[in-house]
Amino acid sequence: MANPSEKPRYKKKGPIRFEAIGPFAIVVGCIWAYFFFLFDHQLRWGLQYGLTQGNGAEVNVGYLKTSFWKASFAMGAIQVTDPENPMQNRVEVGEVSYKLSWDALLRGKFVTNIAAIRTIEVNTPRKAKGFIVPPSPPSESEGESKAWSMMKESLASTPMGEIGEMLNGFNPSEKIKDLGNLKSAARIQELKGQLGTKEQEWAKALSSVPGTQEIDNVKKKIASVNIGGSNPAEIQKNISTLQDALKEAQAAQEKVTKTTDTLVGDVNKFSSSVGEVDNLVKKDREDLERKLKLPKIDAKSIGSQLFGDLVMRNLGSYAKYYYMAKKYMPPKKKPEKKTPEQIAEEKARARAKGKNYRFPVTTGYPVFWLQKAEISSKAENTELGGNVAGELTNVSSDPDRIGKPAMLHITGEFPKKNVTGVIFDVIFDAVGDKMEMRINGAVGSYPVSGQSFSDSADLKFVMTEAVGSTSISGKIAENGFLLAMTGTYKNPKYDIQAKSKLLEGILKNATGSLPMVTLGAKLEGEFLSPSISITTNLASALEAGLQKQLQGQVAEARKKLDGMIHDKIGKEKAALTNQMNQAKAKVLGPIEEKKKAVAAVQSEGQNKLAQAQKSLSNAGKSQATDAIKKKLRF
Amino acid sequence: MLMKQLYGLFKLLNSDKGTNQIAAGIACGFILGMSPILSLQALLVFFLMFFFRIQIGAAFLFAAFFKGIAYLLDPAFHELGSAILELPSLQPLYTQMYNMPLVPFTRFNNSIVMGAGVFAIAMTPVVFFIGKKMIATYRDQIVARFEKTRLWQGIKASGFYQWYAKYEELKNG
Repeated sequence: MANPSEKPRYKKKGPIRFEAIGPFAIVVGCIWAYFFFLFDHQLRWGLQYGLTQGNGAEVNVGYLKTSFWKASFAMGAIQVTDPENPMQNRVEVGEVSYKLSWDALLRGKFVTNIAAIRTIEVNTPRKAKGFIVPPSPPSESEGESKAWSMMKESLASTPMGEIGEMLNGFNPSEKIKDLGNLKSAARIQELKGQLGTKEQEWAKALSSVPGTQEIDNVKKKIASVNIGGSNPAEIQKNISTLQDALKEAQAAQEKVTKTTDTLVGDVNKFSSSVGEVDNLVKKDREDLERKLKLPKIDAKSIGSQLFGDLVMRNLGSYAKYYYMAKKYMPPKKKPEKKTPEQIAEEKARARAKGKNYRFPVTTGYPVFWLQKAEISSKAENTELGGNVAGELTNVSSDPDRIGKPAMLHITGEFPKKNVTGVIFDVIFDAVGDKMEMRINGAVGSYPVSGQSFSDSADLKFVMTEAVGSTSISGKIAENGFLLAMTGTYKNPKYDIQAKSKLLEGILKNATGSLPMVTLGAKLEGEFLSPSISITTNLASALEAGLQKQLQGQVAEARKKLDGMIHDKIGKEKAALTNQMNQAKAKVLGPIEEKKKAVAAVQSEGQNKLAQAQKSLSNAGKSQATDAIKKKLRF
Repeated sequence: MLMKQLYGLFKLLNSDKGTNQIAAGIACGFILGMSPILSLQALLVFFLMFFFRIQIGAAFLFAAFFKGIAYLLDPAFHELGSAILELPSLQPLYTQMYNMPLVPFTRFNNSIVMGAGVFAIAMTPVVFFIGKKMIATYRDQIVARFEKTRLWQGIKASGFYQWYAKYEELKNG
């Protein structure tokens, strides 16, 4: 071992590792260099990617700057491409900046006391075409949005252009050579197959219906009773026999009814299934009408054709934002009683995870909380900018903790674009048990240009110019929604060109008679079955013009369609109905006969009993008279 | 890096110096083994290990060892931590700590972390001194005996060992 007298071989080192300062400084330097040179660029790319996916079209972020010491963030020159028009930005924002609270950051939370959103422009042109994100395949959780897009499709399924073709006469058989797989035809085949099996089942069940022997026995018993005679004792005996026989008849009747009820029910049920084929025929006709794009010429349908897309675009987008916000909300806590299994599981979990104790939160924050964001933009700043002022308050990942709903309030005008009186209020309330979004918005005046109602080879129907105004209000909650929209289009001018001169004339007359087009739309219901109603005076005017010309053609086309369906399934349907009627008669006939036989026996028994009771009464009277006569010695 | 540290530990353990460094490393490993990896106290221990002359290899080796021991003792730590966290007199202190910046990152409000933490604070000096004692025993009993073996005498007499010993001397001044 070491000898203390020896000179130490190595230089003695102190308790502090001074040589670690160098590597530590290098590591710190590398981290600083990364954040100084690379972090902002990488965050900007990441944000661009995420926002693009969320928007469904390219989002560009011009610059992005972060500061660790100031805990600040600023990004600007943000261009949000319109997914429906990639050459245009839906919105362009000059700058978004905010500062995080260090107090919250040290608690692992992100709290912004105040943020700023400056220089907002809408519908600005893009220098290059924006990338559109391909639609992702629908998942199960997207059932709601699927229902919405189905409704959107159904609204657009009867374009106005087809009306021109109808006005010139229309033969469905020329358009549809083959009716394809009709639902009614498939159902007939299915029922036909089932009917054979059912017939066998019914025959078997019918043979086992009791009562024949019992009824015969009762019948014989009643027939054996001889009414008459003057012996009251004998008559009394007959009455007892008849009463017993009637009881037996009653029992037989109950037995028959009880055993045939299920059978009769099954026969009637199957019979009504056969009858329901008529409904399927009607449905097939409606499907074919849709395939043929046979127009509906009531004001409601015309209104949906004209403004359905616009309404869905305006109102439907709120549902999208609702889902988006809902996705980031914490699930609502429901008080629940713990089962013994859950308690045991918690105990088992204690081994690795332990139990987290919660103490009262006196200065806590939610994980994310944007307390206030000021939105401001001045028209003179840019060529297309607007005077926008507003604020976004209390956007938080845990609304229950802050006890306030998120609110967006915006007022503004875009004078260079003639857009005035913009007011927009959205409240997303997820405090407590609620999860709802309330919307109120209006645009006092805005120029309408190129509002297309139909743009096909058959018909070009566009509102080229008008002064529009619109208001939107509504509520979206978990169990359903109600959204309403009203609008007016003053001094409208149109571009109407149709292949059918008749249609062109009708449209020109109808639009010429209206100095102002009004629109009222309501979208309501549950998310999986939303319903839409649109009323507009333009539709009413068109209805009046079209109905005279078109009603006959549409009715004729429908008749022809019915004929085509009948040609395809008529014979089969008649055969099925016939077979069903025969089978029904085979089953219900004998049952009815059996019931009648019981009733007849009962009736005979009742008559005989009445007669016997009368005889008994007469015999009694006669005996009493004889006794009196004997006493008085007549 | 880890292999280098472990080699350093082996070398130091078989030399006649650095007893306190190794014992401090064992004590740090004990604290690390008893604490959650992602916690403020673990970060603090890492900094101490980095800036003070504590044997890092020993710390990592014993951290892994004590982690296994801590897992077996979890139920006991849970009971101890629960008892401490439920003390009525300390509730105002916990509430204050719960609402302070940085402190919640220690995860003191978890029963196992609290139980293991208190145990670690109480036992660290004990582990340090036991460590020292064990190192001394190892050197006296095992190293000294090994150095007397013919195999070691043979290796020590070889040219390669002489060359290596000279290299080490020059390297360490």
